[in-house]
Order: sequence, then C-alpha cells, then structure tokens
Amino acid sequence: MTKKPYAILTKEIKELLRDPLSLLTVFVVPITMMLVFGYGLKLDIKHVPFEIVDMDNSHLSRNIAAKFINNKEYFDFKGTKLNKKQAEKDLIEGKIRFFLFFPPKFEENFKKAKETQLQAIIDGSFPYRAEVIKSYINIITSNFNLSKHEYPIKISVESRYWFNESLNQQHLTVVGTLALIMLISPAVFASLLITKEKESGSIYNIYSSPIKTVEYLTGKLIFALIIALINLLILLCMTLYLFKVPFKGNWFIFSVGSLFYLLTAVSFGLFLSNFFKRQVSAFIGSVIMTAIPSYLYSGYLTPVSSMDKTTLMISKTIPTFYYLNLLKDEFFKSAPLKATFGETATLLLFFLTIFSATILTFKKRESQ
Amino acid sequence: MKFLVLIYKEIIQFLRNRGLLLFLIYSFTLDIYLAATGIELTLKNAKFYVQDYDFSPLSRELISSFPQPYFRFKGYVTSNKDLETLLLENKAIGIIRIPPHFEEKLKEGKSGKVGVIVNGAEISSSYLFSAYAQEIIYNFLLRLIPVYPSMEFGIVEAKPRIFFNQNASSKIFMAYSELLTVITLFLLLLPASAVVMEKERGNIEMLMVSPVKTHTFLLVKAISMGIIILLSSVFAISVTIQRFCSVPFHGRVGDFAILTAFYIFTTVGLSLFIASLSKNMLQVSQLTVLILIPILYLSGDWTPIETMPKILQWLSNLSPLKFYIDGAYAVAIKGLSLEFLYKNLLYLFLQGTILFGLSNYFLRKIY
Repeated sequence: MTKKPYAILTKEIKELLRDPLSLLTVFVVPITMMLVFGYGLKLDIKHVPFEIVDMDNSHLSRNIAAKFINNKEYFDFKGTKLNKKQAEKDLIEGKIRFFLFFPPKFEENFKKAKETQLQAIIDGSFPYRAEVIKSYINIITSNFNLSKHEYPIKISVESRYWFNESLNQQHLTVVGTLALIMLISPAVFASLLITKEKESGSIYNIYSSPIKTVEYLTGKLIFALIIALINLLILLCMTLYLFKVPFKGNWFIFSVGSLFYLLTAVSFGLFLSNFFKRQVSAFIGSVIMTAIPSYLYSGYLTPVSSMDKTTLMISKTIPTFYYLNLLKDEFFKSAPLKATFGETATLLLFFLTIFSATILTFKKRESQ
Repeated sequence: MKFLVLIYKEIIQFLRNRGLLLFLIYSFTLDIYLAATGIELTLKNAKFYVQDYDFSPLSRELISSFPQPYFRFKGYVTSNKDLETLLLENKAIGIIRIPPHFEEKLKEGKSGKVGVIVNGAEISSSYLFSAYAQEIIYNFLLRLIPVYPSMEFGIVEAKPRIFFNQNASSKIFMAYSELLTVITLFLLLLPASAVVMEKERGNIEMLMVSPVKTHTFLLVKAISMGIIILLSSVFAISVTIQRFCSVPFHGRVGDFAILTAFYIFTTVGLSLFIASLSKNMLQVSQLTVLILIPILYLSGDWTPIETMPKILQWLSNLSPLKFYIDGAYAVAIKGLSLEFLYKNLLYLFLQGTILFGLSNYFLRKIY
C-alpha cells in the first residue's frame, strides 16, 4: 500500500531536482511575495501631503494652519497656494491628498461668534484613506475649538489597542500574507502536477498501470505537501525574525492547524486539475480561484466586521478565513485551546471533503 | 492576409478552451460584481460594547451619539474579564470606557479620560474605529459648549468635501480596482501561456521553419489576446460596472479603451518576455507571479507612492500598472479626457516597445 505512493513521490522529487529553474522559483516566489507585501503594504495613514489656500490670512487662520503643519507625524505640508484652482489642479494630478481652504472673513466671523467654516477638500480615489483623513481633520479642529473656550473641558480621549499594542498594521499584513501565500502557492503547484502528465501523455502509464487512484493521488499529495511545508517553514522564519512579529500562542495548535490548511490547499489544486486538460487552464484557474477569494473575503485587507450577510457567507466557505483567524489567535491573542478548536476542526473538514471529492472525480481512463 | 488568418486561428483556439473561457467570463462579470457590492472598506456595523463607570444621563447621551450604520451598540460590559473575552472571540471591534464621575468632571472642568479600547488584530477597521470614535467623542464634547453662558467666540467647523467620490464609497473603488486587477492578471497569463503552449507541444519548431517570422508570430499572439481582453474590459465597463453595480463612469468609454489598448501593448510585451525566457508552464507560472507582484506593489494601488522610500518611488516609474491606474481612475472617476494623459500613453508605449524588442531577441536566440 505504501510502496506505490512512495514511488510516485520519489519520481516527482527527481523530476523537480532535474529542473533547477523550476526548483528555484518554487521557493523564490513565496519569499518575494512575502518581502514585497510585508514591507510594501502600508495601511498606516501617515505623512499625508497637503496644501493650504488662505484667503483670510489672519491670526486665526494661521493659528489653525500651524496645528496641521506642525503635526508632522500625520501630515506633510507641501506649501501654500494663492487660489483654489491651483490647489485643485495639484489634487487632480495626485500631488496632494487634500487641501485646506480658509474663506475670506474667516476670523471676523469667528469673533462675531458665528459659525466659521474651514473647508477641506479631500481626494476620494481611495475611500479608506479619504475617511481617515477626514477624521484627522475633524479631530484637530475639534481640539482647537475645545482649547479656545474660556470654560475648559479637560476630558480627553485615549485609544488603546489590545493584542497589537502599537496598532502595527505591518504585523497584521505579514501574518495575512503568510496565510494567503500558503493557499495560493501549494494550490497552483499541485494543479500543475497532474495536468503536466496529461499534456506530456505520461498519464497513460498511470491509466494502464495497476496503481490505484488513491495511491496515485496520495503520492502527489505528499510530494506537494513536502514542498509546501518547506515553504511554510521559510515564511514562518521570515515572520518571526525578519518582520519580528511576536508569537504569543501555542506551537502545537499552530502546527496542527497549518498542516490541515496546507493539505486543504494541495488537495484543492489536485481537485482542480481533474477538470483541466491543459496546464494553462489549470494555472489560470487555480490562481483565480485561490488568489481572488482569499484576498477579498478572508479579512486580509478588507475588514470582516464591515461585511454584509451574503459576503460573510462567502467568507465562511473559504479556508483562508479560518486559517487567518487561527493565526491571529496564535500570534496576537494567545487564545485558549477551546477558542481555536472550531477553526482547526473546520480546516480538517475542508481537507477531508476536498480530497474525497478529488478521489471521486479522478477518472482512471481517458474521458472523451 | 496571413496575419488575419493567424489571428483568426488564435481566437478560435482560445474559444475552444472552455475552462479558460469560463474563467474569463466569470472574472469580468460576477467577480467584479461580488467585489463591488460585497466588500466594504470603510467602517460599517462596527460592534462595540460600553464599560460605563458613570451611568449618568450624559454618558448615555454620549453613547447614543455613535451613529448607525457605522457603529452598532451591543450592550454594556462590567468586568475586565468579559471585555477580554469579547475581544478575543471577535464579538466586538472596540470598547468605550467612560470614567467614574464623568459628568461631574466635565461640568467642573476637571480632567478625565474616555478610553477607547480597540481590537488591534483587526485590519483597517481597528484604525477607523479609533479615528471615528475619537472624532465623535470630541464633537460631542464640543456640542456641550453652548450650554455655558461664558461663550464669546464662534466655533470653527471643518467642512470636509471629498472630491471624485463624494461619499467615499467603497463600491466605486472596489469595482474599478477589481477590474484593473483582473485585466492585469489575464494580460500577463494569456499571451505567455499561449506561447509556452506552442513550445511544449513542439509547434514552435514548425513555426520557426515556416515563412512566418518570429516577430509576426509574437505580434499575432499579442494582438489576438489583446483583442479578447479589450472587448472583455469594454463589456465590464459598460455592462457589469455601470448596469449591474450601478457605479457611475464619468469619462468616455472610447478613451478608456484607447488607454487600455496601450496598457495591453505594454503588458503583453512583458508577458511575451516571460514566455521567451521559460521552457514550461511551471516556470511561466512562477515567473509571472514573480513579476506581477512588484508591478502591483509599485503601482501605488494599495499603498500611496509618497509613503514609499525614495528609491522605490523612482522605481515605480517602471511599473506599467502605475501609469494605467493613474489614467484609468482619471478617466473613470475624475472624468478627464485623453489629452490630459498623453504622458501616461507615452510611458506605456515606450515600456512596451522595449519589452517587445527583448522578447523578440530572446525567442530568436533560443531557436
């Protein structure tokens, strides 16, 4: 029983070792993805470039402007413009993300105790960024108002972040990227394993040999799993030592959950290859069916909490959703065993279902 | 004539591959629709609990000033242990903690702190929750001022106006962002796969000895795949995005098509370059991903270019996607016409020409 899968495994390993370019890229691609996404994705909104158009040029307007200009952590002052047209031009060309406009009689109105309007024109091309910038502007003006009044309100707001004390978005994107790559890369790799043989014709050897479907698929599964495990180990080391994401949880739960997840990814790739005759289609198919759903629905960059019911239902059919939750539990929350049980069990269920489906749909003869 | 026959052959060949066709249709319709209608990038229904140590009318008023549909008040929490469980099990994004004697302190002008405790393991919504909550609490405090008679100055009110996308709607952004991603994905995959398929099957030797020149062969692949993608994207703009998602398109579809054609030229060049270097599908797949990622990153679609280190800002000029996204958003969302975008077109054309030259060179060198 174990001999035949083993033969398949050794054959695959030899084949890969003979193809150095492929061997190299199989490991280089995940590392590059991790480096680019880990360092590149910056969701923190800081140093936002802006300009000021001051038609009033009064003590008050300069005073408020200074509040923005001196806030170097969040804003990056690019200069003043004489009129709205010029600033709008820079906004359209993407040189700045917003500008402040102080209308004439700004201070006069303020002194008459009228409501004084300070306009802020924000680039809305990226909604998340626009919303955060809007909040920053409101917080600064509110604080200015509170400080200006004779009757002082000394209540302040203090934000604290649990599980990720400095609200380091990089830690979240790195862990999310790990989850994403470990679905896409094994699935794509596995989807080519069988279609490759279909194209070269060597699949006929399998059709006519006494090897059973289960044995053949198990051999392929184990081979792809070994490659995936090596990749996981590399990416994990990068997460811990390069990006310095602290691990607070339990290594045993992490390992078991990861094993099920990788098995799910690999068997999904094998499953897809049952439906394709060509490697081209298998490749494009596996990329589209893993990359897009896991990127959109797993809570990687799009917040799960904001999803509506339908979208949340889609999310729950995607293994990355559970694995990412498990990773967050283990990396950030040091969640108790009980809390992670559901996710681990779901991942195991995914693997068993998909692999059984692969065995059932694999046809050990040529289909017309 | 030879040219047309070859293009015809390529398109027929593509249409016969049902699996691929299915993915193409799915990606330019349902995928964009789901992304546009289902994904919300801003805060929505953010569940929060309140730890109220004051229980005064004022503290309750503060809580009721958290507006729906951004926030959803789920209840009160008393012990710190319950608070931890709520955050641990993702039952809440955040907790608002109101200090003891909140109302008293406020009226007497004493200092106090309202706490906002956020689940830091949630991407982007943690950021938004914290920013919105602060904004709401400060605005609430500000509204209390007119109660006091000693007021002698007005209030400065910030009047933010969001350009191009008034409600900062995720739908508009997601629809176009998804379309551009899908276009890029197919552009890189299709032509490279088409060339490698010929290599693997041995057809390429036949082409090499036939009177068809290498560059004609490449050009045909490029043009036929380009036509397919161009038609799909025009369909996506006019039907999927405008009709099904009811997302507005401000520019001219023709302008968008011309810009896309230029982008197709460049990316197909890149794809063929990959094909000329690789020998089998595994290599194509890996090299494609290897090249696609920096292109996506450097385009500034995810992360604004101004936040990148200087050297990357300079390198971002190598990403064709940067010029395309820039131009596509300008046409689709800002409603600009092509004459504003001649620079983008020029860059795309230049990059494409170089890549075509290189792939022509490599393909000929191998055989």
